[in-house]
Order: sequence, then structure tokens, then C-alpha cells
Amino acid sequence: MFFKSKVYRKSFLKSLLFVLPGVALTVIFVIYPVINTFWLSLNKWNGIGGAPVTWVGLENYIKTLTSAKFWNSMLNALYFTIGGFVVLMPIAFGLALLVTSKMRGTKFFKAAYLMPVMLGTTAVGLMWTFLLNADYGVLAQFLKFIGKPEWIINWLATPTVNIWCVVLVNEWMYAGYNMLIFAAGIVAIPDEVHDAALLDGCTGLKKIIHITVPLCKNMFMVFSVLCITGCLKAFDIVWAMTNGGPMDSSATPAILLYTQGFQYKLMGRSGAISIILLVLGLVLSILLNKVIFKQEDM
Amino acid sequence: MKKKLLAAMLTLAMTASMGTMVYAEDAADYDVENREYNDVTITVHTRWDEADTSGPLYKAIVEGFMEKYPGITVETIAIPTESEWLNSEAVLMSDPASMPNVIVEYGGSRVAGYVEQDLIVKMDPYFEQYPDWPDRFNALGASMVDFSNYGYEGTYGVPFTAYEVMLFYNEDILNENGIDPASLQTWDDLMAACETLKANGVQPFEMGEKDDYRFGHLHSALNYKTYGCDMAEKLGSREVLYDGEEQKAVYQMIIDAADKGYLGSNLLGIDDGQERSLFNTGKTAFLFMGTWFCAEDHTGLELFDNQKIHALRMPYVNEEYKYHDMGGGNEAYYAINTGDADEVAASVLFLKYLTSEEVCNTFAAGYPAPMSVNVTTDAGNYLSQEAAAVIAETTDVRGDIENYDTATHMINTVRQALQGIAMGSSADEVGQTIVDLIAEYE
Repeated sequence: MFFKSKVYRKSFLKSLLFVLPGVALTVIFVIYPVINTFWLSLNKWNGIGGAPVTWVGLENYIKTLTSAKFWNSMLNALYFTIGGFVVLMPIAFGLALLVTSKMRGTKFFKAAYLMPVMLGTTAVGLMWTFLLNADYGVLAQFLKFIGKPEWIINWLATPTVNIWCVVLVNEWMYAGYNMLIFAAGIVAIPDEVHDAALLDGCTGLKKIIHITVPLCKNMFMVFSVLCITGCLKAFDIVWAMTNGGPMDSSATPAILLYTQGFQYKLMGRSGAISIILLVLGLVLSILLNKVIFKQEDM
Repeated sequence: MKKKLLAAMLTLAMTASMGTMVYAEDAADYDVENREYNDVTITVHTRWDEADTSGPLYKAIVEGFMEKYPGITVETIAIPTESEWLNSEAVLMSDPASMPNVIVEYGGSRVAGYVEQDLIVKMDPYFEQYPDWPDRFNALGASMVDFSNYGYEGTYGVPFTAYEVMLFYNEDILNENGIDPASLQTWDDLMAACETLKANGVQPFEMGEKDDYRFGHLHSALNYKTYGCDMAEKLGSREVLYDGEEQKAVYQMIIDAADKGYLGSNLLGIDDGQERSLFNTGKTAFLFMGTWFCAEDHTGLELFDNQKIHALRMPYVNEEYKYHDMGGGNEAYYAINTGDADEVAASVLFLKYLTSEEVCNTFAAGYPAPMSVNVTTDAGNYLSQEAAAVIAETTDVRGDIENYDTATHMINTVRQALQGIAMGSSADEVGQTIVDLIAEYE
């Protein structure tokens, strides 16, 4: 009866009004582009306004999934993910422990660790491109200085080496940013828990493993979701350092979808890559939430 | 009877007058100089570079135009880096709402795609309206505005600057190593000179293949010097295959030179800007580059001030094609058919102003590079004059060989595969990569 009442209808309409702007924005800027991209992925279009759009069904998906370039880009995305979990996560967590400790000068360290991300991706990319130059870069000069010139290679032009260079620069850049995520979790742990641990003789590494890490599980989940989705769509740092080259050897899926669309004018193929990435990102995020970080554990 | 006759005459007169009106209206449409412009804004998408010698000159053209035609405002989107400029153009041209009014392009399959969609304004009626206008253009840029190869007759756009790819050398380095520049006639002569230089510890070339157009240009030039300029159409129509013996022979020439270290010591670590800097500062003996190099800012460069840098024709492989070269129009301007008559007229007027005698003379005096538009100024530097002498003897030119293909992706596909040479790809692998990608993309 309540649902049919005037009061309900009034409050329902009111709440609908409040929700409407959000829904409208989501539809315009998220739902519609996704549907449009999906439609595009089932068609062939050369990217020129007014040019015919031809229905090709699943051809773009088949061609994408059987393309060596696509799988190479997925491998590069995997390298980004491995780098994120193996390098970035421990470093960011370590830095968070450092800046939340009672050590002196933590404010300075906090600012210093955040500096790379404040520089901006293009600046960071260019800086490291110079540092890693095999002719005049600092690393090459250092290797010459220590008498190991034979170790100098063209780091940014050698397949696999180049993508790992970009991955490590990415971790260097985002360590400070992710430090903030973990630091937020660490400072939220009540002092009483620390005191109790201290009374029980649980200090140092033991305390980190048994107290800090489990109580920061939420932060690890946030980091994991951001890391996986970020790695799948990694673009700017790769573009700034290698443009995805040479010969697409350092291209990530996001680079590939951009070049296939706007350089090769294969808009349908580009759309197919976008949809594959979207589905993959959603599936992995759901898996992380439902399987690895089960809600009841939170 | 009289009434009938009168009625017929009246009908005839009315039809004739209407016809005249239609004709007059048509004629007025193409008379862009005598049209009234009120608050018309046009956008020009270009590769103009403010930091380059040409930057202030282009800016002056835009300002001069707006001063002469106060009813028109010109807004520019200038992106100097080639790849970024192309990407930006692709994004803007993907939707009628974002299309610029004028674009700068090189002709070829990309522009042919726009012509196919009726997005490029056909210039012929305007040339009929102003019969002197087409006479302003020389043959250098003709291929950039002619799309008859793609099945579209007529003229689309106006060419502006031109170029030819040449061999620039450092006189001092060659003298010190006992190499007579006049002896560099064939590709083998050049390779022999490179061998001598390398043996004496001098780096012959430092090609910046980080920008993948470098090997792309070398591939085009070697094709024309080996098989003649017709190879562009043969390859474009797939009469000759990218994995065929003829093309593999060209790849092999590049591979041999690269393997011996003649083309550079860090091919993928250097871009074209660094390549030029190394040559300008005497670190390398040769530079394989378009004639735009002559017009660049050489202020304070000792080698240039002392006239130690010179231009030579690109050495030939087959003597028959000694005077066939990579070159032609360097940039052409195309008016976009946005559907707005005022904007189209203002865009055509801008092109007319751009290619007018006074504007071109001023531009050529400040930027001494070859032009596709006739200029009546002899201004220029010693290097541009040397280059002009080489161009004067050229009998046939073609631009990037990949652009003669109807598939738009070819320029990227071929350049990327050629980049593989710097990563150790064999001639077979380069050809196979191109053919595989063609199959994948088409």
C-alpha cells in the first residue's frame, strides 16, 4: 500500500530528480560511448567523417585475437602488471611504513617521494629517455666510467628490455602516489592495536606481517584494482618514452588501439581492442573482489 | 497565333534569363574575392613550427590575410611533429563537426580517402574563375593535388613548398679523407667512400631511425634510383610485390650499409633532429635529407658560415635513373568541404592569398626552400642555390613510395617493417612483415 501512497510517489520522484543528473552524465559519457564502441567493433570504418560503415560482424575480434601484435601488447601489459605487484607494491608499502613511522623528516620524504608523479608523465618520460640514451645518457656514462662499456645497449630500442625500462620508470613515478594509499591504511590502524602488539612482544617485521598487512587489506585491494586496470590501459608513459616502438615492440594494448585507429585507420579493429580491454578489466576487477579479497574477509 | 508566339518567346526569354541568373549565381559563388564576409572563422590545421625559420613567416601570412580581409578570422592548429600532426588530423577528420576548414597534407592515399568522401573542395571552378591562378604553380607539386590515379579527375588543393631528397656532405671531412665529392656518382661510390671514412674512424652517416621515416625515405629514394620513378605506381598497384626480388634487393642495400655501420652507430637511439645536429657540428660526413635542410636555421653554425656543407644529387644505382629522385611537393593546402558556403569561400580565398605572388616571394625570401609556386625572387643561401641547380636537372620525381598505394595504412606498415632493419631483420623478414600486415589489415 505504501508504494502506491502519495508520500511514496512524491519521495520517489524527488529522489529520481536527485539521481537524474548522475544517471544522465553516466549515460552520455560512459554507457553511450561503450555501446557506440561496441557497435564500431562490429563494423569496418576508415575513420573519415561521412565514410561508409560496413557491417563485418565478429571479424575485427577474430583478426585482433589472432594478431601477433595484439598478443605482444598483452604480454607488455602483463609485464606492467608483474612490475606493479612485484616492484611497485612492496616499494610503495615500504615507503608508506617509512613516512608513517616516528622517524624525523617524514614530511620531507613524503614530498620527495611524491615529486615524480607531480612532474607529469611527459616530463618524466623525456627525462628518462635522456638518462637511458646509449650515447650520452647517465647510465651509459656510468658504465663507461666503471669500465663496463660492453654492458651498454640501446635500452629503449631493444625488445623486452625497452618495455621493462618503461615499467621500472612507471614504478619510480607512481611509488609516491601508491605510498599515499598504503599510508592512509596504516594511519587508520588504531594505536591500541599497536600497543597491544608491543605488549605481546610483536615488533618489527613480525608486527608488519601479522598486524599491519592484514589490517591494510582494503588498501591492498584498492591498489590491486588500480594496478590491474591501470596496467591494461597504460599509455602515456609508453608513448612519451618509446611511442610503442620500435616495430610496436613496446606497445601496450592502449597504444595499439590508438595507432590502429588513428594511424592505420582501422577504427573497427581499434573498437574491438577497446571492448576486449573493457571486458578483461571488468572480469579481473570482479575476480579480485569476489575471489581474492572476499567481502567477509574485509 | 500571335499570342502563342508571344507566349513562346516569353517562355524562352524567362528560361534564358533564369539560366543567366543561375550561371551568374554560380559564377558569383566561385568569385571568392568579391564576396562579403561577416564574422567568418576558418580553422587551419598545419605542421607549422613556431621555432622553425618558417614559423614567423607563416604567422605573417595569417596576419596579413586577416588584415586584408577583416571579415575573416583564421585560427590555426599547428602541430610540428609529424606523427602527432597526423594523429590529430585523423581525430579531427573523423567527425564533420570537428573538421578544420583547411588542412596541410602530402597528397597520396590519405587525402584520396577524403576526396572519395567529397570532403576536399575541387579547385577547377575557382581556377576557371581566376585563370591566372593555376599558372602560378610549377610541376613540382602537381602530384599532390592530382588524384586521377585514384579515379578522381580534377585538381584538389594547392601545392606550396617543394623538396628533393639529396646528399649533403661536409667538404672538410671529405678532403681530409681523400674523397672527391664529384666522384660520388653511384651508390657503390658512396659505399666505397663510407668504407674509407669508417676505416679512418669517421662516421659516414648517423641516421635518426628513431623517426621511422628515415629508412622510409631511403627506401623510396633507392627505389627511384634503381628502378625509376614508375616503381611508385607499380608498387602502389601491387604489380610489384613488397616481398618480391626487386624490393628485397632494395632492403638488402640498406641492410648492407647498416650492418657495416655506415648509416649510424645508434640508429634507433637517435631522431632526425639529432641526426642533423651531428652533421651540422661536423660529427658525420654525410646527411641524407630533403632540401628543407637548406632553409633551416643555421645561425652560428661554423660549417655553414664557412660554406663547408654542400649539396649533391642522391647517387644512382642504375645510370638510366640518374635524374630520377625522391621529391616533389612538400606540402599542399586543401580546403575542406564543411558544407558552409561562407567557410568554403573564405578557405579558398585563404589559399589564393597564400599562393599569391607577393606572399610567396616574401615567404621564399625568408625560407629558401624550393617552392611548388613560381617565385620571382632570387633570395636564398648558397646551399639552397646548390640544391636548386640539382633540382633543375631532375627529370622525374615521386614522393614517399608507400603513398602511391590505395591502402592508407601502407606508410606506417612499410616504415615500421623497415625499422626492423635496425633491429637485425633480414630482407626476407622485412618483405614478409609487410606482406603479412597487408593481409591482416585488408
